[in-house]
Amino acid sequence: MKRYITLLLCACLMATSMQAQFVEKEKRVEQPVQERSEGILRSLTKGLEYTLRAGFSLGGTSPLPLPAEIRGINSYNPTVCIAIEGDVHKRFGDWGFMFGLRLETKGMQTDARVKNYHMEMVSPDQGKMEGNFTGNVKTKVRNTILSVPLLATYRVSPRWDLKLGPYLSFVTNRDFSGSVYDGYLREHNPIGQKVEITAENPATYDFSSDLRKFQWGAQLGAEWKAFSHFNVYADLTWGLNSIFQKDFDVITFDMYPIYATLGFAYAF
Amino acid sequence: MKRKHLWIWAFPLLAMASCIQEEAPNAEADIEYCIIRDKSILINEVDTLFKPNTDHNRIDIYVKQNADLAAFAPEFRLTEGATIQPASGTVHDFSAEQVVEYTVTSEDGQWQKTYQMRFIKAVVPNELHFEHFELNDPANPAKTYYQWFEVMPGSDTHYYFWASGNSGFKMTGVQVGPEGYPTVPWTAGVQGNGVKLETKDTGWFGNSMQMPIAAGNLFLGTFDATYALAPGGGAMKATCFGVPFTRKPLRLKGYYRFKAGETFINEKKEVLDRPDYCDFYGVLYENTQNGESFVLHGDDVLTSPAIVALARIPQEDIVQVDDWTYFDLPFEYRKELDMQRLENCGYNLAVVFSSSVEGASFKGAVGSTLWIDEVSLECE
Repeated sequence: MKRYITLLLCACLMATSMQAQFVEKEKRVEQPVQERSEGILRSLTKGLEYTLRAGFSLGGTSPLPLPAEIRGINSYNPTVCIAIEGDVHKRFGDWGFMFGLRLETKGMQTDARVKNYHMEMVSPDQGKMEGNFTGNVKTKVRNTILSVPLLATYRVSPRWDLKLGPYLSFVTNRDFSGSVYDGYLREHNPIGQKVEITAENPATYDFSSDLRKFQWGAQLGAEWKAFSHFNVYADLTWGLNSIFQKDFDVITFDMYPIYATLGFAYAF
Repeated sequence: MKRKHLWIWAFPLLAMASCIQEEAPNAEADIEYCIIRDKSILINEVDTLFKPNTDHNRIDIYVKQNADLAAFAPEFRLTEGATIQPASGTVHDFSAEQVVEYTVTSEDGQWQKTYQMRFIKAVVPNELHFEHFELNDPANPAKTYYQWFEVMPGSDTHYYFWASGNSGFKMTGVQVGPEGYPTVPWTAGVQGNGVKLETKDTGWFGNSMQMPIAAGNLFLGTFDATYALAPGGGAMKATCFGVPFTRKPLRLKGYYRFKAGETFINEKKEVLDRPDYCDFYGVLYENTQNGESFVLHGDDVLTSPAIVALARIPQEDIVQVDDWTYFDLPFEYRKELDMQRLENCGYNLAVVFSSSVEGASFKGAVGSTLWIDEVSLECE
């Protein structure tokens, strides 16, 4: 239900913003703009702001809550993930609406200890190994994503803005792969044939092509005006649909991308 | 500089670690070990722990010919939390090779495995016709393969003296029916059925583990697929050659046909300029060494100092013709046979057939095929 309220709110804000732009255009006919900077200045005064932002992201693609099959995290590497974004922001008093286009990478590398973790490995020649694995699993996630955030904003103080709303993502480059090692596989089910898989000879898997191309989620952010054009911001993006396609049942639980971005924004 | 920011990494890690749920109860339902307290029945008295194979539910323990099993109480070590019916340590009549069924239920109650346990005194017969075979798991057509057994006159008990690498081939995930496995029945035998052993490509998984081929093989003994994917020669531990034997073998005879595959490759799939050969032999060896039980594996089956006698086809004698070729190989004794020890099952006999002589180290030519039938042992 909450999702729908948020969406509705965004739709209303967008409609208002478009109406405002329409009014502005009408005015422009009366007073043609002479210089670009003057135009930007005016739209700023009318409440339209443009920002360019860049930041580093940190997070994980993880089942929520962690299923009982995961017994421990041996290591975690957030890898270098960046986000570059251009936004348009329209204010109505303290409230406002922001939308933009963001090119980002979401990735991580983990090494987890699992028990009775259902896996299937399909090789390029359609060979298939399937069963329940107990041991260690290395996972590498690295996705390049084009996202459109649609955010409601609220000015808490002259220097502080809060942002909340949904985002829509299109995954342009998918990678979800890894290996299992130092453990054993029970073929097909927990009472199936047992096969040891050593660290020297790990079994690899690659579920990249099973990743969903369209993702969406919720975004929460805060922005601090450090200087007149220079802001510091932090965003939390929380995926709300599983990264895997609907018919993918090799991993028996859904996984969601949850990432935090820290960065700087330049406001024109 | 980088180190300064290390604390940032700690947050998600802590967040995730704090979410680790309570461990779920175990889903496995294995008899990990059978414990034999009455050592008097054992071929080797120190061999009180028996580890069942996980690719089938049979527990066949070879015992002394004079073992009294009318009231015997085996004990079991199970997967943690699992339960067993009838209980570990209860007395059952195992005489006359009767099967006692034990059902193990996993700790989470979701999985059950029923084992057929028996103590075996029977010894491999002299005449080996390969007429008795079956699919190991007919209910699972995508993953089932052929296995062979012997039947003694006047009894319908199946004795699984034979093993093959078929269960290891299953783990390569190559999607073929049972007829596509390396070791399959051959209906056009010398008499009735024979066996066809063919060196197969193990596909992408096999190749990625430096096991690009699987030779067809059939041998007296067991195959433990647990170690079938072990690297650096570890996989050779999967083949456990030999079963207890109480007669003195003199000759190994039978019929074979062989056709070599075209391209010989090594474990790295590099093409080597050499022909492939099949291999077959009989080995009699001492099944205890320094008081410990001893089994020959792929790495020492032809070289171990425990070998007492060997009958092997010389490579130069192998012919490639379309007709069945008779072979008659003498067991050449390297040590004197201790008749008392022989009577007490102190020797194991392995009869081994392989479609590629170096198949154990994953070298050979895909397509090399060995057919065998009507094998017999001439004993004193």
